[in-house]
Amino acid sequence: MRALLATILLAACGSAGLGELRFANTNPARRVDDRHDIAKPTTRVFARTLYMLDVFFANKVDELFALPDTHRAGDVNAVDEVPDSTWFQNRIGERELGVDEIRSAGRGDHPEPTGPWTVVGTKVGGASPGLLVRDASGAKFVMKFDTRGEPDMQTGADVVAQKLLWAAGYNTPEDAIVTLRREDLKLAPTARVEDVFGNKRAMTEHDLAEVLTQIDHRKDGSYRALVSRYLDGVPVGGYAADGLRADDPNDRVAHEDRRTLRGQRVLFAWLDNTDVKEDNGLDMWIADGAGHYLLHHILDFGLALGVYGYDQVDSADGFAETLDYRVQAASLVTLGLWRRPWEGIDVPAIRGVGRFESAHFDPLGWHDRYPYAPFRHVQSADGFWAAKIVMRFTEAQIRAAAEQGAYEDPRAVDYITRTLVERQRITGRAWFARVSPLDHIAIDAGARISFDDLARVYFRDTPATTYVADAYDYRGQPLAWHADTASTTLPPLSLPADHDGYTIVEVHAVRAGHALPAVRIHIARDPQAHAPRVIGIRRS
Amino acid sequence: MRSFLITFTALAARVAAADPPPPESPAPPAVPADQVSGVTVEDDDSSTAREIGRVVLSPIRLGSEVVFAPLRGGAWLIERYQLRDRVMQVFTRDDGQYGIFPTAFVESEVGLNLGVHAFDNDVFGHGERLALAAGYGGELKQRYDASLTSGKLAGGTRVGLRLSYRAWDRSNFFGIGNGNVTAPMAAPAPLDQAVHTRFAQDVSHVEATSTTPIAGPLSVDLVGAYTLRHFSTDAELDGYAPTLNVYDEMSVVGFQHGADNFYGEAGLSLDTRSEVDRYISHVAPSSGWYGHVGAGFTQGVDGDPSHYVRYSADLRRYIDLYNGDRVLVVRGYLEGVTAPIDEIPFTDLPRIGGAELLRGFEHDRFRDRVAAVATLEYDFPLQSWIGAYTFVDAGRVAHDVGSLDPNALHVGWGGGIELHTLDAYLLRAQAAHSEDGTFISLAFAPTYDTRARARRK
Repeated sequence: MRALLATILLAACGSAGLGELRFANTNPARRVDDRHDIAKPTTRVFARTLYMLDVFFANKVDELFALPDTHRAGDVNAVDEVPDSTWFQNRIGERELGVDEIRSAGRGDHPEPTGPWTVVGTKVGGASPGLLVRDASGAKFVMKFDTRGEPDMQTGADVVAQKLLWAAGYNTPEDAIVTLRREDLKLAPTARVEDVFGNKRAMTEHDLAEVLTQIDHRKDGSYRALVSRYLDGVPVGGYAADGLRADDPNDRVAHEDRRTLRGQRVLFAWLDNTDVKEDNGLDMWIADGAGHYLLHHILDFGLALGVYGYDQVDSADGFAETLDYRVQAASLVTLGLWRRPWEGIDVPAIRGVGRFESAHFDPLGWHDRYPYAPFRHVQSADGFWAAKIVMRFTEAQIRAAAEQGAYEDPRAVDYITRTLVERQRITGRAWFARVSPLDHIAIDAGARISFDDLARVYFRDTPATTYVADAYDYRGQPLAWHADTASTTLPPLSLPADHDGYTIVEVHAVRAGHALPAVRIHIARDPQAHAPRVIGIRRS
Repeated sequence: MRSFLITFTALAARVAAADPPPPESPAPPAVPADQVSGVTVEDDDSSTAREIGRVVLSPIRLGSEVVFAPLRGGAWLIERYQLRDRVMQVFTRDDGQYGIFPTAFVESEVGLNLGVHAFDNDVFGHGERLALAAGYGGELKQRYDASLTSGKLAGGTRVGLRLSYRAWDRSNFFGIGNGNVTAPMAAPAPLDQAVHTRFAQDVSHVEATSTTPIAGPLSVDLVGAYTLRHFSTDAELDGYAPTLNVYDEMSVVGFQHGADNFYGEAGLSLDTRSEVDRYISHVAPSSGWYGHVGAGFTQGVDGDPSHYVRYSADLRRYIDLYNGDRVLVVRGYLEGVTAPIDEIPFTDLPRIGGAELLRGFEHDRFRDRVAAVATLEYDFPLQSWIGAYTFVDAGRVAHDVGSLDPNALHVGWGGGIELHTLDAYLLRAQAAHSEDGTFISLAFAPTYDTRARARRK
């Protein structure tokens, strides 16, 4: 009876045959060769008004009639992982990541930033007042301050999010909180101020004083600031949300098809970082021994952790786009009777904490403020990949990041840590329920496939699970092998003689009678060692 | 269950065993981007139906590209040349204390008004606000306004002085009373026959105001004003008859010689409106009361027969139905004058009808010695700064309060959408329907703006 039920459920899953997908019998790529020498690309300028017109109006209309496809991510390797590249560097989970490394995330070989601070200019644009400074070692930083009346909020959120996103694998600047007094700021003789039109003039003490009048200071007269280290190389603007950078031959995967960008939707939902648009990315044209190439960064996280919702006084932040026609239509049609998902949010009044909580958090329903193209293309496999990364953080690592926010109220670190852990678990549960969340898939010399079921690894209350598997040869013909077991090690396979024993094993995790989408594991014998190995993984 | 526990334990042990970091190893070889996937044969996921659909829909896509092209071009220009910042630089000072900027107001029933607005928010260093404005077009042929408002003085009092000149050329007159609109018949028509006519008026006005908080939400308002009006038939008719082609000039009090009078009013205001949390706009209160009662005296000069008392009451109750942003608004409005109908200029009679008071009817559709309106409105949010509302208005004019017949009310109903920020009202689009038809309006003023009687149109 149980087997019959599972069979029916598997059929209901819509398994439409094995398809034609086959992998090369090689080890999966772990690093992408995308650092070929290139000429300096044209600097991309972020046109905010045009961007908003496009994302809220023109693109929405176009998508209605374009019948767009969503492709599988193009920057993944054969085993459905993202190899190291100029976009992403596997860190947490790939190697031991101590809390000290998280505390200094993004610093690299540079010394810790320390004053006195030499002011070389003022920051142009952005939501908060700021300066361009050099620290005691001569390293250059952007120095930002909290919006008046919102102490610790933007500076704290920026640092916490930056530490976690760097650890997740993204390229970020090093951000840190510093405390300084007026006398710690020295005006450089060459300091310049620049207005929004690009006009420059010598900076005066009056200019510096004017910046400081816009910010709060502590009772003892000191200021709290965020310093964000200048990135190495030459800035050439943010990367486009979709398509390729035409003048970068290394850019071979459309950005909306990059898992590294799609996966940010999961990580940013976890961190409630809703401010996502092209100017939150920055390409740096850098030089190393191999020549020049672009390194792709993300930056400016000061509105994460619910700060945007607080700062912009928008209760729907994280739940709806700034102009969300779906929400508007639902409210209009129901005459407001629809209870919107963000209603009833109650966040404790703690200095430095934004509109950040976990009780109403829905990782699948989360929304950024400005529809970001890669997020519209997220598939379950992308979400699973990113959720795996989120789940790798230990509470100690999260706390280490939260402590770097240097919140004056000690309750803030506890609250942010606790909320991040709660949101982390909600994230894992949501995305692990959309796939058969099998990871660390391996095959031993006896042709026994083993794996970890991440839902069972992380969540003790995961329902009893069985793994139903069938095997197929290279041509897609079924083999006389079937498994239906509660074990995460499947019975030994008998690999065919042809095509290096190429075998495809389709595994469904079946929980409480519900079959989750399949994972197809492609296996072949290593031509040299003759041992079976996993050469490809494809998740439905 | 036991086997599950064993499995879980074994699993946990294996995961734990897998946790230790791998030994440092040299960087793996870099693989060309087009070989990273390791795929030798890809699934064919093409869809003929989708391809056909794309071809069929491609003209629509092209059309939308054409529509958006100039908008996108404009948006690009704004950014490329920092036009927003340049406009701000030209028209305002950095700290926003003073500035000058162009204005445009559109109301579908009256058209487009273009103008200019200048301000100084701290004229003498104590929060005094000076505003100068001029505009042309729409309902108003010309408008010029100047106002100076003090900062808080002793006791929290604020005083103000306002001067204005306005030339209307689309003012409505439907006679006096509650009659149904009819076509013009043999002139002159009796005043109780409602014929849609148009007239023009020039109004010069000066007023002094003071508002003094007295206790909690209560405040006292004092107004003194002088108004000089001249009327003519030189109006934009839009197909309607000139007023004097339908009604006898002698019966329309004031038309021949204009209105020239002083007005003084004392009022008491109550305002307990509030929002349940910081995420709800101040212009969309969650609950509370707003009330204003006032009485004033008008004295005509230079042939104006005015010598009467005007009284009014406006009471609104905001009831929080849910979450502070589903709000029921109940409103009662009453305004009356004590003068005989032939001793008050026709423009000073209480009037109802329009996009604010008795919606679903033309502006100034009904006028008489007494006007009353009751409103039931339900406000609800669409998104943070976008709200919607639906309403029923019922009202009537009468010769005196005792003649107001609650069984013969004029009823209008409809709904609208409004945009606002946390502090300011931006735009209202409204559709209202009644026995007179359907009226669409696009306005830059709230429905429930305080009606300034001293500044009557």
